[in-house]
Amino acid sequence: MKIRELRILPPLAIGRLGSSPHPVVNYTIDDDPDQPLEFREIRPQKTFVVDESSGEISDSFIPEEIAFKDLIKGEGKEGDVDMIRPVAPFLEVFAITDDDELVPLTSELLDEVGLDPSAISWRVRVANRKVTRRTEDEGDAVTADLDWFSNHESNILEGHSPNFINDEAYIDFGRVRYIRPNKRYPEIRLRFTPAKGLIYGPNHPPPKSPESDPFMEKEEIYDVPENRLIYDTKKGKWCGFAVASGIDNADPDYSGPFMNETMPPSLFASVPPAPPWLHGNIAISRGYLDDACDGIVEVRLTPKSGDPLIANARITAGPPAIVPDSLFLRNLADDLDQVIHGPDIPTDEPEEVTRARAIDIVRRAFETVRFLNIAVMNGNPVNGRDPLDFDTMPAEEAFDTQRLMRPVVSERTADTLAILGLHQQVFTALRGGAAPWFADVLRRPDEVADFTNRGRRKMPAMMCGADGNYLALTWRQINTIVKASNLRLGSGMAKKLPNPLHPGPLTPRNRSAQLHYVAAGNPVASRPVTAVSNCTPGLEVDFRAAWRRVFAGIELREWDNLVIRMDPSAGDRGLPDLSGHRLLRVEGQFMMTQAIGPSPADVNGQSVVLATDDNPHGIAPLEWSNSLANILRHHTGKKVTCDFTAEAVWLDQARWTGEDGSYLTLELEVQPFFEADTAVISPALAQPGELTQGLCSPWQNDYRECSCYYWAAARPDYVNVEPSASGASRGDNWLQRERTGNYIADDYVDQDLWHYDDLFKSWETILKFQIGGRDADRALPHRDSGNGDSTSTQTGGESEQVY
Amino acid sequence: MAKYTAQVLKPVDEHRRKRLRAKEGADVEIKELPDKPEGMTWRDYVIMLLHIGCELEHGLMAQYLYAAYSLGGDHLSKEDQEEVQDWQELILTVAREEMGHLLTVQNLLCLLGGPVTFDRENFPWDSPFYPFPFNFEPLTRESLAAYVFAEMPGNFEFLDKLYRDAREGTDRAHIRDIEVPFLEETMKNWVEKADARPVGEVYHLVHDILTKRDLIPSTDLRPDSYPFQSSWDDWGRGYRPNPSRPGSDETKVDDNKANIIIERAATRTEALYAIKEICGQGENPDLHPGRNHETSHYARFLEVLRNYDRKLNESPDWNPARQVPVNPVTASTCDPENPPTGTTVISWPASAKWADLFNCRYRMLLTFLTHTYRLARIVDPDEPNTRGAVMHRIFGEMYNLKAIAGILVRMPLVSPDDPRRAGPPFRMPYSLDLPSDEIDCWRLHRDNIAYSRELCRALLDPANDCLDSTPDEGEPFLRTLCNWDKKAAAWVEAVLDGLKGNGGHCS
Repeated sequence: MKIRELRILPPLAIGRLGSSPHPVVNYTIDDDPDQPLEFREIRPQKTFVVDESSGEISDSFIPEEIAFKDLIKGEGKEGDVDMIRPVAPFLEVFAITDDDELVPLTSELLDEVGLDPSAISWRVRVANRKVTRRTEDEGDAVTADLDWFSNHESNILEGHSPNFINDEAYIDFGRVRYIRPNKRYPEIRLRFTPAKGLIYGPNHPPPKSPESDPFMEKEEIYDVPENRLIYDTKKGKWCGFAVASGIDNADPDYSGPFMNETMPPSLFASVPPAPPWLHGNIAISRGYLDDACDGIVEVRLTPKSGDPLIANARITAGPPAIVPDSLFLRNLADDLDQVIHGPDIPTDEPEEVTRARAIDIVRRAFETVRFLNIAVMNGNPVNGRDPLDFDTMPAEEAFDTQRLMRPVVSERTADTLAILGLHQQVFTALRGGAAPWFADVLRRPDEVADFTNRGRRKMPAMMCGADGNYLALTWRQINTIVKASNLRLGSGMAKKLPNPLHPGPLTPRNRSAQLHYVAAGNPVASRPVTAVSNCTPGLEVDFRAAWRRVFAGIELREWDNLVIRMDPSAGDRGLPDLSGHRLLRVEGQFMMTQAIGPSPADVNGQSVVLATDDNPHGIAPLEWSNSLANILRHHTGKKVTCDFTAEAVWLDQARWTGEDGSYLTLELEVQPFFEADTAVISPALAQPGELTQGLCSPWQNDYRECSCYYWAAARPDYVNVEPSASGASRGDNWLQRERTGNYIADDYVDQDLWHYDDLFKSWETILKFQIGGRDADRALPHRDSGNGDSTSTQTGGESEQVY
Repeated sequence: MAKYTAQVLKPVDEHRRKRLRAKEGADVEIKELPDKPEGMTWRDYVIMLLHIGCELEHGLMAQYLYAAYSLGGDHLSKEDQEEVQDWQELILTVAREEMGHLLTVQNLLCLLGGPVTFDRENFPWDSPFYPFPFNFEPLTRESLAAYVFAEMPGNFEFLDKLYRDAREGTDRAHIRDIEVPFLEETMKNWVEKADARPVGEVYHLVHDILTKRDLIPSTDLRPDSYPFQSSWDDWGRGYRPNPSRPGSDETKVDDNKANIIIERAATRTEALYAIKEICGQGENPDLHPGRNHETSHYARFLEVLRNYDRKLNESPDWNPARQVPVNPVTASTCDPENPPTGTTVISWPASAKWADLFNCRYRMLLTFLTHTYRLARIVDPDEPNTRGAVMHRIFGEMYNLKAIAGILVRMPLVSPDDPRRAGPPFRMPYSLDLPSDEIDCWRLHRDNIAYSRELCRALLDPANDCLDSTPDEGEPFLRTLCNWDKKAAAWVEAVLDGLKGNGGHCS
């Protein structure tokens, strides 16, 4: 037996922040065949007990309940404290043997090749580059580089930055631990325990805003504890940082310097009053940083002779999975699967697999609809109040296109329970063998800026995609529905359809199986299937960032077609300086579309370009993940024809005219998205910290600013929903202080809703988990599942052990 | 259709003959209308004609659905299955468009202040407005001929003129030489005189009566009914061509996709426009109407007929449909020993239960549909409430019917060993009249849901052995439907509680 190569699985593990010393126990989610329209059942799974002192797995058990939050009595100034349980995933090492098999690397296997676990070492590099992304100052990058280690200690990921007050100051990004293999648990694995979700701040207060808001003056401003005031305001410009308002406002007359603004803009904690769009569009940074991060874990096996074997995986730390029993309509796994398989569905895919995936998409659609207040998101007046006062996609559309606001569908038909029911009926019919009949009403990714009545009513409706326009599914999801719609009656149907999340056997080259690999002990919340992928900017990762370097030699902006800078290799590749140019076409395919809307003269029959002063041709950039799906599929490693604007166009969108001299054609190589034969996003595309750099700093701020049209099933909006006497639904806003059953529409300044500083201070209390659509911090399983090794079950622990 | 006497139908025939003569170039004063039947005002008569229109649209829609569901089966080659699937989609598209016609006619009834209706006779149904009895039957060359005739733009003399000059080798020549003689011959087998009335005739008379202000004065119209009428926004579900792109006047009309016309009418002009629209969609004779125009139902059915003939030329025994029965009924709706003439009893117990479930959901659909028109007048039209919720449930029931029909056509008619299969009965409920009291309407919904749950439970009960002969997807479907009904029952209870606490009034 020889070990040829190593792999770390899963290739992307998602940690989730929380201050409880006890990680969330292991659980999975399953639909209940007897009640398939209900929430997925949270089922406990075998959970490892890691001995705090030895670093080995001392036991395993099946939990009786799954707690997401612990109430710690009497701690803190104000008494009881809520502590959210972090999600702390394990990463397992696999070996590819000389038989070309992918097998778990264990101490026994090491023994077979004459080695022991000390031959294994790990290196972990994570970073938080959120501030750098805004300020463009590399000194603002917070990086933790834990050099090769073989110990079994709990190693702190200390995030240091040149712009911190001193070399000792750091952000605690959490812990990594090489789990000591033992006889019972001989596998080689590492555990990543993310940070607590703390906010760090500047050593001097930020300047005051020239704006004021008498309604918000009484608000108690969060005080970052003294020991976390580590950002040196003399070294860095983050505290007090502000984006030139001309850019923020997309002012066509703006002539100031270019600033590489994020999309959405000003995603950071700003000096009160906030939000900026209600207060003169002035966003002055408070200088906050958070302890979220992403990075790369490397494992090395050093043989007695020969070269060491090394493998990578990625980790990321993000907010809790607030709705553990639901999956979002378009999640990160959908996008990664599209990279792996391409946008098309092979003709020889078994019919039952296609059907199962189509049904799963519809299921996730209704799981998403559940948490959207459809009436509000549709743009209905809220108790007679102007819908323009509330943050919705129709309102966004009205602002962007400078047109009057219109509801998406007829107001009377827009209710959560009614639309939820309709989706559930579609699901029911598909489960009964009907072929999908609605492929035509799915929004194509190049139709996201079609604001005609027909265009904006396409599915998914009322939600935002990664390009800031209406959400589209991935091409692969759409093509799944299309293929399923052509299946013959009854073909591919079964009493139990295959699980769409279990994509075949684990082999060295089955990337999909590697991506979806369920490592022992890992709750489902650690998997890409629970991460959103309509990244505006996202929650767990900003997937847009993975595409910036997909064309060798240039670096694109994550959210549009602007070449932000050239790669150092550009000169060797013979590329001219394209900084500031815009990538218009790849292989003749447009990287942007044109915003169109109804003609006032013939609302349903004709469309017009939705031109504005700052965007006279209504150009709307398209998200990379769908735009480049085909390019990646067919041209990876090859050169493709790219058309750029002939000149730099830093500030404005540019259109394709096709006129001679208006564009520059170059051949660029498409870089591999994954490392060879793995499902690890290539480090050449994103370095540590870059997959999360577009996210909000701190992330808690975004939970206040993002409405449910982004990630309804991940950051819910409409909760405790039930039918009312009127026949429509009633329920609470997730962020409303008191649960009354009367939804409080989010106008950002309403005192009955939690505010920014409440979240900074008490996010673990305020963010209520949703189980079965209702506020709940723990789930009781319906039935036993899995097999623990212990004879008894456990629910808590005060010992030296962690889960 | 005994309720419509020869006396009330006479004006339709007179008017039709006049129109045909006018089409043929005779010097006929088409504007001069026949006398109205005695004992009726003109308004009353138009309302009655519109009721006939509704019944015909409903009947045709159900008939087309049945024919579409019958298509396919393991006896077909893969290529043939694909082709037949296209036909199925085409016929379903026409059925969806008929739904739009039905709603448009309800809107006209609202404008005239008449009662809306979703009623029709059970099949077989011999209507004087139809040259042959309405039957639920698998798609055959003859039944296709009937559908072509139903949507035909005039009589055979008219068709003769239409295609007389067709150049040899063209589609039009094929229709002249093969299809039209076949149609004529088929019709003659059904009716003594080839003077039967295609569906559009009713609308032509309604149209011409409405143009006369002296017969239908403006005071007879109810423009205030406009908010209560069905709109495309509520019911169209995206079935409409895309608007033209900027700078172009070209709308992409795709004949494979439904273009649902639901016109609302607040004025006489809008009412006349609505009639022209639904007539045009049915009977436009143009086989290739060119850009921006869709192919009519007549032309689309004709195309299927031509393709059918092509397949028969290749193989004379070729049959696109499953062995589903003509006018299926169950023991719960008739005496199985002595079923109504022309019907076929689904005798296999499991299939009969599924058929009863189909009927139950069909009833739910029709009850919701009727209820939504009443709710339109008693709840706030601009807010989400019971009206919108009921509207969505109607679509949900359409999906259920589609799924159950798909299961039924693969289930035994009499026994698993017998190749004959069952089919969806589309049984009309004993009444579509809603109770006078709103509370009782919701109790009716509750009863329908309860009955559906009872049937699902019975089908799932291992003691009844129903699942053995049910396709695999039947069981998960039933469990999902049970789950759905449980939620629906909770919703109905919430509304009922509100009504009870509110003195029977909607909140």
